[in-house]
Amino acid sequence: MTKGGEPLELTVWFDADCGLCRRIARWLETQPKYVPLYCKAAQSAAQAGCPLTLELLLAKVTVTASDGAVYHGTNAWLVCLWALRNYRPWSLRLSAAALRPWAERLFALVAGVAAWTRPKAPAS
Amino acid sequence: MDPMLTTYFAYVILSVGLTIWVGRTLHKNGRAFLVDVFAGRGDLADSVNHLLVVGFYLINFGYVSLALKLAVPVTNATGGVEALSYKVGLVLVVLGGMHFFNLYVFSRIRRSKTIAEAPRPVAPDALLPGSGTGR
Repeated sequence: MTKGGEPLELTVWFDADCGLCRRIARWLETQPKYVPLYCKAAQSAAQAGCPLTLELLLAKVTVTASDGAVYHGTNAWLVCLWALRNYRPWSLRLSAAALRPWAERLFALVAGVAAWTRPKAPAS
Repeated sequence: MDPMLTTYFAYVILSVGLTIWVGRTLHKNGRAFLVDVFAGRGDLADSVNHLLVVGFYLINFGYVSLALKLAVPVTNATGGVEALSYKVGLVLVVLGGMHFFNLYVFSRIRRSKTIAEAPRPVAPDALLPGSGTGR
Protein backbone atom coordinates (compact mmCIF):
# COMPACT_ATOMS: atom_id res chain seq x y z
CA MET A 1 0.00 0.00 0.00
CA THR A 2 2.74 2.44 0.88
CA LYS A 3 4.82 2.09 -2.23
CA GLY A 4 8.39 2.91 -1.32
CA GLY A 5 7.17 5.80 0.84
CA GLU A 6 7.26 6.08 4.62
CA PRO A 7 5.63 3.15 6.48
CA LEU A 8 1.90 3.39 7.04
CA GLU A 9 0.55 4.61 10.37
CA LEU A 10 -3.05 4.84 11.51
CA THR A 11 -4.67 7.27 13.93
CA VAL A 12 -7.99 6.55 15.61
CA TRP A 13 -9.92 9.65 16.71
CA PHE A 14 -12.07 8.68 19.67
CA ASP A 15 -14.47 10.72 21.76
CA ALA A 16 -12.72 11.35 25.07
CA ASP A 17 -16.11 12.05 26.74
CA CYS A 18 -17.35 8.52 26.02
CA GLY A 19 -16.39 5.81 28.48
CA LEU A 20 -16.78 2.91 26.07
CA CYS A 21 -14.73 4.76 23.43
CA ARG A 22 -11.90 5.34 25.92
CA ARG A 23 -12.01 1.71 26.93
CA ILE A 24 -11.87 0.53 23.30
CA ALA A 25 -8.99 2.94 22.62
CA ARG A 26 -7.06 1.53 25.58
CA TRP A 27 -7.73 -2.00 24.38
CA LEU A 28 -6.55 -1.13 20.85
CA GLU A 29 -3.29 0.20 22.25
CA THR A 30 -2.52 -3.03 24.10
CA GLN A 31 -3.06 -5.30 21.09
CA PRO A 32 -0.13 -6.60 18.99
CA LYS A 33 -0.16 -4.87 15.60
CA TYR A 34 0.97 -5.21 12.02
CA VAL A 35 0.77 -1.44 11.51
CA PRO A 36 1.36 1.27 14.15
CA LEU A 37 -1.97 2.55 15.39
CA TYR A 38 -2.35 5.58 17.64
CA CYS A 39 -5.48 6.51 19.56
CA LYS A 40 -6.04 10.23 20.04
CA ALA A 41 -8.90 12.17 21.58
CA ALA A 42 -11.04 13.77 18.90
CA GLN A 43 -11.12 16.88 21.09
CA SER A 44 -7.36 17.26 20.51
CA ALA A 45 -7.57 16.85 16.74
CA ALA A 46 -7.12 20.54 15.97
CA GLN A 47 -3.92 20.78 18.05
CA ALA A 48 -2.65 17.53 16.52
CA GLY A 49 -2.96 19.10 13.07
CA CYS A 50 -5.91 17.04 11.85
CA PRO A 51 -7.92 19.08 9.32
CA LEU A 52 -11.20 17.27 10.05
CA THR A 53 -13.76 19.16 12.15
CA LEU A 54 -14.67 18.06 15.67
CA GLU A 55 -18.35 17.71 14.65
CA LEU A 56 -17.40 15.18 11.99
CA LEU A 57 -15.07 13.25 14.30
CA LEU A 58 -17.72 13.06 17.02
CA ALA A 59 -20.48 12.08 14.59
CA LYS A 60 -18.65 9.03 13.22
CA VAL A 61 -15.76 6.90 14.36
CA THR A 62 -12.88 8.09 12.19
CA VAL A 63 -9.50 6.64 11.33
CA THR A 64 -6.91 8.60 9.38
CA ALA A 65 -3.92 6.99 7.71
CA SER A 66 -0.50 8.57 7.21
CA ASP A 67 -1.04 8.34 3.43
CA GLY A 68 -4.06 10.66 3.71
CA ALA A 69 -6.84 8.08 3.61
CA VAL A 70 -9.85 8.76 5.87
CA TYR A 71 -12.17 6.00 7.04
CA HIS A 72 -15.53 6.47 8.75
CA GLY A 73 -17.89 4.16 10.60
CA THR A 74 -17.72 0.50 9.65
CA ASN A 75 -14.74 1.09 7.37
CA ALA A 76 -12.88 2.66 10.31
CA TRP A 77 -13.61 -0.39 12.47
CA LEU A 78 -12.46 -2.75 9.74
CA VAL A 79 -9.22 -0.83 9.22
CA CYS A 80 -8.57 -0.97 12.98
CA LEU A 81 -9.08 -4.73 13.00
CA TRP A 82 -6.85 -5.02 9.93
CA ALA A 83 -4.02 -3.33 11.85
CA LEU A 84 -4.20 -5.90 14.68
CA ARG A 85 -2.29 -9.15 14.41
CA ASN A 86 -4.94 -11.23 16.13
CA TYR A 87 -7.89 -9.80 14.21
CA ARG A 88 -6.71 -9.24 10.63
CA PRO A 89 -8.30 -12.52 9.46
CA TRP A 90 -11.61 -11.23 10.86
CA SER A 91 -11.25 -7.87 9.12
CA LEU A 92 -10.78 -9.68 5.81
CA ARG A 93 -13.77 -11.94 6.48
CA LEU A 94 -16.07 -9.18 7.68
CA SER A 95 -15.21 -6.87 4.77
CA ALA A 96 -16.07 -9.56 2.21
CA ALA A 97 -19.44 -9.10 0.52
CA ALA A 98 -21.09 -12.02 2.35
CA LEU A 99 -20.43 -10.77 5.88
CA ARG A 100 -20.31 -7.02 5.26
CA PRO A 101 -24.00 -6.44 6.22
CA TRP A 102 -23.36 -8.25 9.50
CA ALA A 103 -20.30 -6.13 10.13
CA GLU A 104 -22.44 -3.02 9.59
CA ARG A 105 -24.99 -4.27 12.11
CA LEU A 106 -22.39 -5.31 14.66
CA PHE A 107 -20.59 -1.98 14.54
CA ALA A 108 -23.86 -0.04 14.52
CA LEU A 109 -24.72 -1.87 17.73
CA VAL A 110 -21.40 -0.91 19.34
CA ALA A 111 -21.82 2.68 18.15
CA GLY A 112 -25.34 2.65 19.63
CA VAL A 113 -24.05 1.52 23.02
CA ALA A 114 -21.30 4.15 22.84
CA ALA A 115 -23.84 6.88 22.07
CA TRP A 116 -26.03 5.70 24.93
CA THR A 117 -23.19 5.80 27.50
CA ARG A 118 -22.02 9.23 26.35
CA PRO A 119 -23.21 12.24 28.34
CA LYS A 120 -25.64 14.51 26.46
CA ALA A 121 -23.74 16.87 24.17
CA PRO A 122 -24.46 20.56 24.87
CA ALA A 123 -24.97 21.38 21.19
CA SER A 124 -26.56 19.31 18.40
CA MET B 1 12.57 -70.00 9.54
CA ASP B 2 10.11 -69.37 12.35
CA PRO B 3 6.93 -67.89 10.72
CA MET B 4 6.73 -65.26 13.46
CA LEU B 5 10.25 -64.05 12.75
CA THR B 6 9.51 -63.99 9.01
CA THR B 7 6.44 -61.82 9.68
CA TYR B 8 8.53 -59.43 11.76
CA PHE B 9 11.15 -59.12 9.03
CA ALA B 10 8.53 -58.53 6.36
CA TYR B 11 6.84 -55.93 8.58
CA VAL B 12 10.03 -54.00 9.23
CA ILE B 13 11.08 -53.99 5.57
CA LEU B 14 7.63 -52.91 4.34
CA SER B 15 7.10 -50.23 7.02
CA VAL B 16 10.55 -48.71 6.66
CA GLY B 17 10.20 -48.70 2.87
CA LEU B 18 6.80 -46.99 3.04
CA THR B 19 8.01 -44.42 5.56
CA ILE B 20 11.03 -43.53 3.43
CA TRP B 21 8.84 -43.24 0.34
CA VAL B 22 6.37 -40.87 2.04
CA GLY B 23 9.21 -38.90 3.64
CA ARG B 24 10.93 -38.39 0.30
CA THR B 25 7.67 -37.36 -1.35
CA LEU B 26 7.12 -34.75 1.35
CA HIS B 27 10.69 -33.54 1.08
CA LYS B 28 10.55 -33.20 -2.71
CA ASN B 29 7.12 -31.58 -3.01
CA GLY B 30 7.10 -29.51 0.16
CA ARG B 31 10.03 -27.39 -0.97
CA ALA B 32 8.04 -25.24 -3.43
CA PHE B 33 5.61 -24.30 -0.64
CA LEU B 34 8.38 -23.36 1.76
CA VAL B 35 10.33 -21.32 -0.80
CA ASP B 36 7.16 -19.27 -1.35
CA VAL B 37 6.61 -18.85 2.39
CA PHE B 38 10.19 -17.73 3.02
CA ALA B 39 10.04 -15.14 0.23
CA GLY B 40 12.29 -17.01 -2.19
CA ARG B 41 14.99 -17.75 0.38
CA GLY B 42 15.95 -21.24 -0.77
CA ASP B 43 18.51 -21.85 1.99
CA LEU B 44 15.98 -21.20 4.75
CA ALA B 45 13.32 -23.27 2.97
CA ASP B 46 15.73 -26.21 2.59
CA SER B 47 16.67 -26.03 6.23
CA VAL B 48 13.06 -26.01 7.48
CA ASN B 49 12.17 -28.73 4.98
CA HIS B 50 14.97 -30.92 6.26
CA LEU B 51 14.01 -30.37 9.91
CA LEU B 52 10.37 -31.26 9.15
CA VAL B 53 11.38 -34.48 7.42
CA VAL B 54 13.65 -35.47 10.30
CA GLY B 55 10.73 -35.05 12.71
CA PHE B 56 8.52 -37.03 10.37
CA TYR B 57 11.01 -39.93 10.23
CA LEU B 58 11.49 -39.94 13.99
CA ILE B 59 7.77 -40.16 14.71
CA ASN B 60 7.13 -42.83 12.10
CA PHE B 61 10.10 -45.05 12.86
CA GLY B 62 9.23 -44.69 16.53
CA TYR B 63 5.70 -45.85 15.83
CA VAL B 64 6.86 -48.74 13.62
CA SER B 65 9.23 -49.88 16.33
CA LEU B 66 6.65 -49.60 19.13
CA ALA B 67 4.00 -51.47 17.12
CA LEU B 68 6.26 -54.36 16.16
CA LYS B 69 5.23 -56.93 18.75
CA LEU B 70 2.49 -59.33 17.66
CA ALA B 71 -0.12 -60.06 20.33
CA VAL B 72 -1.14 -63.48 18.91
CA PRO B 73 1.56 -66.04 18.06
CA VAL B 74 1.87 -66.80 14.33
CA THR B 75 2.05 -70.51 13.51
CA ASN B 76 1.53 -70.72 9.75
CA ALA B 77 1.79 -68.64 6.55
CA THR B 78 -1.88 -67.57 6.54
CA GLY B 79 -1.64 -66.26 10.07
CA GLY B 80 1.55 -64.43 9.11
CA VAL B 81 -0.08 -62.68 6.16
CA GLU B 82 -3.06 -61.64 8.32
CA ALA B 83 -0.87 -60.27 11.08
CA LEU B 84 1.33 -58.53 8.54
CA SER B 85 -1.57 -56.86 6.73
CA TYR B 86 -3.00 -55.62 10.03
CA LYS B 87 0.31 -54.15 11.18
CA VAL B 88 1.16 -52.58 7.82
CA GLY B 89 -2.38 -51.21 7.59
CA LEU B 90 -1.86 -49.43 10.92
CA VAL B 91 1.44 -48.00 9.70
CA LEU B 92 -0.25 -46.75 6.52
CA VAL B 93 -3.02 -45.04 8.47
CA VAL B 94 -0.47 -43.37 10.76
CA LEU B 95 1.56 -42.29 7.74
CA GLY B 96 -1.58 -40.88 6.12
CA GLY B 97 -2.43 -38.95 9.27
CA MET B 98 1.11 -37.56 9.49
CA HIS B 99 1.02 -36.64 5.82
CA PHE B 100 -2.18 -34.63 6.15
CA PHE B 101 -0.87 -33.02 9.32
CA ASN B 102 2.21 -31.93 7.39
CA LEU B 103 0.05 -30.50 4.60
CA TYR B 104 -1.97 -28.63 7.21
CA VAL B 105 1.21 -27.17 8.72
CA PHE B 106 2.45 -26.07 5.29
CA SER B 107 -0.86 -24.43 4.35
CA ARG B 108 -1.06 -22.83 7.78
CA ILE B 109 2.40 -21.26 7.41
CA ARG B 110 1.53 -20.09 3.93
CA ARG B 111 -1.82 -18.61 5.00
CA SER B 112 -0.29 -16.64 7.85
CA LYS B 113 2.11 -15.10 5.35
CA THR B 114 -0.63 -14.08 2.89
CA ILE B 115 -2.59 -12.53 5.78
CA ALA B 116 0.43 -10.55 6.96
CA GLU B 117 0.73 -9.08 3.46
CA ALA B 118 -2.95 -8.39 2.87
CA PRO B 119 -3.73 -4.81 1.83
CA ARG B 120 -6.34 -2.74 3.64
CA PRO B 121 -9.71 -4.45 3.19
CA VAL B 122 -11.75 -1.31 2.51
CA ALA B 123 -11.37 1.74 0.27
CA PRO B 124 -11.00 5.13 1.98
CA ASP B 125 -14.16 7.21 2.44
CA ALA B 126 -12.23 10.43 1.82
CA LEU B 127 -8.73 11.82 1.50
CA LEU B 128 -7.17 14.44 3.73
CA PRO B 129 -6.56 17.75 1.89
CA GLY B 130 -2.79 17.69 2.42
CA SER B 131 -1.99 13.98 2.18
CA GLY B 132 0.43 12.71 4.80
CA THR B 133 -0.88 14.76 7.73
CA GLY B 134 -2.72 11.96 9.51
CA ARG B 135 -0.12 11.32 12.17
